[in-house]
Amino acid sequence: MINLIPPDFSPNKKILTILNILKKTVSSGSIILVVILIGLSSFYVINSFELKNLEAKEKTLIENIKSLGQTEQSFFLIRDRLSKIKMVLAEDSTNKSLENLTLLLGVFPAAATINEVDITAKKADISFTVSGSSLLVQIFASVVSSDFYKNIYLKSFGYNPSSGYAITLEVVNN
Amino acid sequence: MPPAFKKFIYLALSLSCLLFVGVITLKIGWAKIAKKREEIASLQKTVKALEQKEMILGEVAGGVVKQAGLLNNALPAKNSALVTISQVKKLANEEFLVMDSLKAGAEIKKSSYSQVNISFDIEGEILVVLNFLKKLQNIAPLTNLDKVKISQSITSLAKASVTIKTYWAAYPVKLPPITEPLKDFTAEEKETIVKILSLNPPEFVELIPQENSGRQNPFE
Repeated sequence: MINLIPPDFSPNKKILTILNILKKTVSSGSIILVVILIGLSSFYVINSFELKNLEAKEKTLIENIKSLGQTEQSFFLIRDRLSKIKMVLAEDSTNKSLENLTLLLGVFPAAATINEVDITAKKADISFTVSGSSLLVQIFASVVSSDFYKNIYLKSFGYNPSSGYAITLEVVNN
Repeated sequence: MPPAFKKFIYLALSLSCLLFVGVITLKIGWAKIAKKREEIASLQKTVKALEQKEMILGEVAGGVVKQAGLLNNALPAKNSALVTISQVKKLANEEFLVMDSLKAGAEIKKSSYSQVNISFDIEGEILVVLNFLKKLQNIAPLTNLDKVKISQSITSLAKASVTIKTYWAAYPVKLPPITEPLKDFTAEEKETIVKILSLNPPEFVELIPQENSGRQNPFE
């Protein structure tokens, strides 16, 4: 083929290089864009499948749990009762005072007469009568040696020749 | 216009379009994918919680219904005064103690449960009375001793004026959502269950309906 265009009309070499670079950029950019688009679409499709699988799994699990409805109800009822029982058990009660008193009265000599016992959550007042001083010493020794009371107060101490010693002790729990 | 310039404009426009399409596609595409990933992450969390829930419920399925019934004896849904009185009377009979002046107070509402005070007098040997009071802690519904005053003279038996507290609590109104995670009972909770299950439950008499006597005509 014969080039009839005069040499003066042929474009500048610099312009040709720029055009070439631009052309290459456009074509490689297009390829990159297509690759990115394919990548994104594939990633989107994979994620959609994963989501679908998870939804199906969730549905199956919900069905299974629904079939265990009575168990679930009982489980929540137990949990509810337990939380409330915990509060009830934390309430003040004379149970500990009673336990301590039972232990203490267990070591009291049979000759001692318990007249009155007043038990509350934190302490107990014990009024008793003993005929002789040796018994009194024995009782005091057992009360003092017991380690389940924080404080022991002698509230009253009386003596009557016919009945003996009348004592009131206040014992405060640990 | 020289053909080189035309070509330059054409290429520049193509490049601009490419950049524009690329940026928009990336922005929209990435946002959609990010949303899907978020959904997947949330669903994975839910599925994990459901799997755990299914496993726990499957493990406890055998005994949990019975346990719930027994715990319900310890903390009933309705006023427990009558059942507690019946339990106290039964215990007093077993210990051969004389019971008197039985009174039940009004409902005392607490934050999440209710309480009623029951007072009574009991008469017997002092150690038997103390034993009876100790055994009161082992009855269901749950009871707490409030006040005890014991008096006795040389000639008489011990007489105890006792006030006990008994409790009940309404059932929860609704179950949490099915997708809410479930945690197994803690060691402390398991210990409480064992303790509560050892309480003496009340005995309820079930009346069996009588069969038809066979008398067809009531006027005969």
